[in-house]
Amino acid sequence: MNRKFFVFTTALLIGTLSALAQAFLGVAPPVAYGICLVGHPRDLLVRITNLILGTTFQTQPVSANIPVLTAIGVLTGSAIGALQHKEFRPSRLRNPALMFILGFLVANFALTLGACILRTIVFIAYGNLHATIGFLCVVAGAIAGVEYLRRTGATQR
Amino acid sequence: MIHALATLVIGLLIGYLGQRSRVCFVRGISYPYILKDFYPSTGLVGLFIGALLGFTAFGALGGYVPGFPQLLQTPSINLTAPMVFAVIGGFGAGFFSVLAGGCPFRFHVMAGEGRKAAVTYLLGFYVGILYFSAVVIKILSTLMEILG
Repeated sequence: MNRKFFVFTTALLIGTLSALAQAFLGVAPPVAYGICLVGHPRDLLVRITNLILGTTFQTQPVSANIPVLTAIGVLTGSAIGALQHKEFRPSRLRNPALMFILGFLVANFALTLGACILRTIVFIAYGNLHATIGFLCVVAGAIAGVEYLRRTGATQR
Repeated sequence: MIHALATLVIGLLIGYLGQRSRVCFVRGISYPYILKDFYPSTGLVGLFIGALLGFTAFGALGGYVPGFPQLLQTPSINLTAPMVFAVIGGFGAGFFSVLAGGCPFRFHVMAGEGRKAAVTYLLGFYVGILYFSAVVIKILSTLMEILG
């Protein structure tokens, strides 16, 4: 299949599944929360932490009793795809501290925004103004990031 | 219970498709700018169209889509706390995602492929989530009271 068309259809399906999850499968409230790769892991981790350590961290209402399991599904689905097509190759780790810090920072900024980039676009489709402003700032941040990499001579990992 | 199973199955499906297609929503922004390569951007367009069609169709079929479309109800821009958070959070998420080399979805997929860099990123990501839940959210709550 044409690569461009495959990327488009995959994303089209992700968007439709996100809407389906909210409309008929009970993944709400909040709205446009059918798939979120920062909110859903947060709900799962917070539920586990509350259970083990007795903390009272907040989750979204949908995960008040049983947390959403999207992150586990994505990790497993990706591993199945990689193993099936012999693409499961643990690569050499160059700069673990940097990757750890970048993950830490992305999680905190995305949670400040209130969504991962995927959910931000789904939220724009829902007609949310804050998501639209947020996405424009994601674009600005991404361009600033590219310019930073260019000026420092660094390459993307 | 059904929502947990539904998200698990949906996660499996999109994880598999994400691994095959290598869709990444940050590369959809950065690649056209760096390489003049527009193929990752089709993912952004597809996601938007899929969600828009989905909400419209499932709403018409009686699904739960309260207040859709929201823009018709809140068409003004005010300097409220959520707007400030959207600006700061959006810029930071975009900037550091480009430095990392992908969006959180792509990193989950790459971790599933066994890439150690992605697994390390996700460790930091999950620690960051807990740090946010324990510390940052209290700061944001205070700011929200000040800004309104």
